[in-house]
Amino acid sequence: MAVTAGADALTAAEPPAGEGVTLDVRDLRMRYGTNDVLDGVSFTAQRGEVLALLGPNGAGKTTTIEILEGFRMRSGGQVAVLGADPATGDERWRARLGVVLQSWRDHSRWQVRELLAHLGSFYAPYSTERIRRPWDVDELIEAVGLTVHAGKKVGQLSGGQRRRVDVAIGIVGRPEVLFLDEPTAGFDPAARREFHDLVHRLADLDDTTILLTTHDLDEAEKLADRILILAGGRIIASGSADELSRRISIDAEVRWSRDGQRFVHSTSTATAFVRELFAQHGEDIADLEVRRASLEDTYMALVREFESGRADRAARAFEEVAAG
Amino acid sequence: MSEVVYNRIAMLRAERGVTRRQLAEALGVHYQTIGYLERGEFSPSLHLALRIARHFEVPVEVVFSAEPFPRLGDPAATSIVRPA
Repeated sequence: MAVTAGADALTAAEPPAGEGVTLDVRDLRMRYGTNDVLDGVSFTAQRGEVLALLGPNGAGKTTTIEILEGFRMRSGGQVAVLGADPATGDERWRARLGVVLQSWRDHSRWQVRELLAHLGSFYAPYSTERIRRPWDVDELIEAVGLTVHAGKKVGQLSGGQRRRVDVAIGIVGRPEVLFLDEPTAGFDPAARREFHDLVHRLADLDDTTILLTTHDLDEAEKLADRILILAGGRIIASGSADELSRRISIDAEVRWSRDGQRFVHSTSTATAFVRELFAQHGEDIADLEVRRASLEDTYMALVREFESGRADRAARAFEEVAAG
Repeated sequence: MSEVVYNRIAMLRAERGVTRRQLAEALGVHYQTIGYLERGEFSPSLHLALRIARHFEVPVEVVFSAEPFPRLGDPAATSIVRPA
């Protein structure tokens, strides 16, 4: 491991790598026993940026988030969240973070409004000129769409409504960095849409940096400025949904109709094909549609490519051992 | 409407134990498109039709026809293969 442990003590005092960098992760490693869950993860995030962390189950997404939140000690590498090392972050630093964990927190006997007002009060000492803490409780309840349920006990809410309470708890302190671990699990489509609006509002208006994990690729495509794909303990690809799709050559599907009949074709050169189609049939062509690879197609292709590459490497290593 | 193209994609797919997903990936089309093709809601382009035939390693007329395919076990079907 090529980690320079000596420099770590100064990390918290060091300014971030650049103006507006809120997350700075370099060569992050995590080992459980002999198992390397994270094997050199590096990425940065800017103020107001939304990052989606994707990856198969067990890829290390939750572990990464937990290390950044300061809930879990890393085995190696450097991490700075708002300029501080999460391993040694104090209360003042913690007050600037928001966390929504994967599982419900149980506060079933509290009323929604009462609970949020109570939790919010802990943030009051950390209010600043720029960021008033906590979030006004009624405004917050409205922002997460729980106004009509404000007087209900948490235990009486549905799964999706309880998840909204989790989100509200995560943002009550008006965090500058927000971690969301599968935030929309159990949301109906309308709740999901409202949640997306909330994420956009936090990122665009309040300049919140948001790191979220999800298995909903459609959601990642809608929300994230940048998508990180984690597999085998490393980030195997990162970029916008569009950038990722251009990395992989997946055929596009072209559909059209002519004389009331519908046709479909598959091609890697959709534009040329469509040009040819019009040259041949001109105005007879209707209902033209070009469907490019979805983020799901791209994701599956990237993960599969990575896994087959890893299998190849393992096979080569085996051959080398066998030959030697 | 007059230019109906009949196909036996579903039959070949079942016979070869290929799922719609697998066929979709092999052809570079969306998963639902295989269903559209099998039900005749969409016709494949000539090139796509040739690729489908090649995928199943059969001549194109085994998969596609301008006439409805005879039902299996239909005496008319055998008479086509072995003309009297």
